[in-house]
Amino acid sequence: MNRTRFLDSSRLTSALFWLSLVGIVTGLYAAFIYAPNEKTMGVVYRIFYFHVPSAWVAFLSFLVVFVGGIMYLRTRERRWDTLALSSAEIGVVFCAIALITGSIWGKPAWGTWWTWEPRLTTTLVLWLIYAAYLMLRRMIEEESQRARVAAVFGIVGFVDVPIVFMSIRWWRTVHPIVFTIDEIRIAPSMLAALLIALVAFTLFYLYLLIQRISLENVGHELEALKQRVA
Amino acid sequence: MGSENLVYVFAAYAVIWLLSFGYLHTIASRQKRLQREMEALKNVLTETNVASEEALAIPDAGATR
Repeated sequence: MNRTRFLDSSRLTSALFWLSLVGIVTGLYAAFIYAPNEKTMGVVYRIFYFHVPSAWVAFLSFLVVFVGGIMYLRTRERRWDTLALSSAEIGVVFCAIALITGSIWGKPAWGTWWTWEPRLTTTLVLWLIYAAYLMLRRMIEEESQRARVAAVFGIVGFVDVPIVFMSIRWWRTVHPIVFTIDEIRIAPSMLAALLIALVAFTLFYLYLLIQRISLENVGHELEALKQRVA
Repeated sequence: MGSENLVYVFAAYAVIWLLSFGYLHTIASRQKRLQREMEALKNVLTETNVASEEALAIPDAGATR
C-alpha cells in the first residue's frame, strides 16, 4: 500500500457511486411509497428518512476526523491529515443538511423554525466547531504546523458528538427519541426505510471521501510540480 | 397534519440534494481545474527540458565541425 495516500482505486470509486445511487433511489421509494404516513405528523414525517442519515454521516465524518487526528499525531504521515481534512469538509456539509432539514421539519411539527433546545443547540455548536476547523486550516501557512494544530482541534472538537447524541436523553427536549436501549419506537416498515437511507448515505459518504482525498492528492502533486518549476 | 405540509417535505429534500450533489459538483470542478493546471505545468517542464537539452547540444555540434 502506498504510504503517502490511500483509497485510490477507480473501480472501487465507481462501484461506490453506483451502489450509493441505487441505495438513494431505493431509499426514496421506501420513504415515499413503502413506509406509511406517521399517525400524528403525517406526510412531514417523511423528512425523517433522510434527515437522520444526514446527521449520521456528519457524526461518522467527525469520528474519522478524530481518528485521523490521532493517527497524524502518532505517525506524522500526511495521508492522515488529508483524511481528516477531507472528512471534516464532508461532515460540515452533512451537518448543515441535518440542521436545515431539522429546521424545516420543526416549523410544521413545533410551530417554529428554530428553538434553543439541547439537540438543536449542541448540533449547531458541532457545525460551528468543524467550520472553525476548516477556517483554522486556511489561516496556518506552514504545512506540518497546520496539520498538528488541526489534529488537536479535530480531536478536542469530537467531544461534542456524544453530547449531541445524548442531549435528548440527558435534558428535557422537544426532539423525538426514536432509539432507546430497550426499544425502537417506529414501525418495522419505517425502520426498513430508514436503514436503507442510512446504508445509501454511508456509501455516498465513502464515495465523497475518496473523491475529496483524490482532490487533495492532486493538489499536493501540483505543489510539488510548482516547486520543481520554480 | 395533512398534505398541506408537502411543501416542507419538498423544501427539505431540495436542500438535501442541492447541498450534497452541489458539494460533489464543487469537488469535480476543483479536480478538473487542478488537472488543467497540472497539464500546463507539465508542458512548461517538458519545454524547459527540451530547451536545456538543445542548449547543451550546441557546443557538441560546434566541436564536430
